[in-house]
Amino acid sequence: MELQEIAAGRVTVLAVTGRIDSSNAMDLSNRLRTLYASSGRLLLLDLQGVDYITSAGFRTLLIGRRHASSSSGVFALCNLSAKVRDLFDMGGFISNFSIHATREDGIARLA
Amino acid sequence: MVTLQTTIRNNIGDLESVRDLVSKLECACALPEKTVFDINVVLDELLSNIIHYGYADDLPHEIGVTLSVRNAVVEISIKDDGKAFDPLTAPEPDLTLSLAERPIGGLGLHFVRQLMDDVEYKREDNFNYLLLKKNIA
Repeated sequence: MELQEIAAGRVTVLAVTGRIDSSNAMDLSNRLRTLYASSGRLLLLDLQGVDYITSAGFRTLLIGRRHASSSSGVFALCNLSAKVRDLFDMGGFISNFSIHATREDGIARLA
Repeated sequence: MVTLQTTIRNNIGDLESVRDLVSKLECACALPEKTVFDINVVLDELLSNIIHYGYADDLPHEIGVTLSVRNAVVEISIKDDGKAFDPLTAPEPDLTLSLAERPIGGLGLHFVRQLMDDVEYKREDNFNYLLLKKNIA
């Protein structure tokens, strides 16, 4: 998994490439915790480059959501592939996250 | 028919060789991307479960993973000497609960049951045997 941080005005985009699974979900968790250490952070997680995500990855996304609410920040997702979106559906998560079609949409809504 | 086999130790780092095995199967059988995605998710869920929760001791254990393709069906078999555990009897998560109320543990096995076309479990001679089938879309 590779993580790339891009500043887009007030919004921070974190682009994920590769897989998010049991072996690396903790790395993403730690990164999200660090990012939300500054309060009021507007974070958009771009999942375009994600090959697949397992339940360990979903746990991390839930943690990200919790970090955001406890630091008065915002946690949103964008660019879910059809396969990744299927898992969100399967897990009943679609309505629990703020999900945007593209990075541009996400930035526009968050900013 | 193509059959690939590997044996890993109960370390999360060893899952790398299972992912390599899936890549080999993908190349050998020209598997669709969606099938490979499902297999990768399911193997990570099941093997990480065994590694994290399967053993009552801290000793090294072997887990056997076999992947095969025949008649447009991918078969995955997993053999481990951990505690008896039938993933089919694990409770379904209550998806109607809000995230705050929901225990997250059952999610991985929920994915396994949803993504596979058939899951069979047996316990024999102190081994867990899981046989999963996925029809190639």
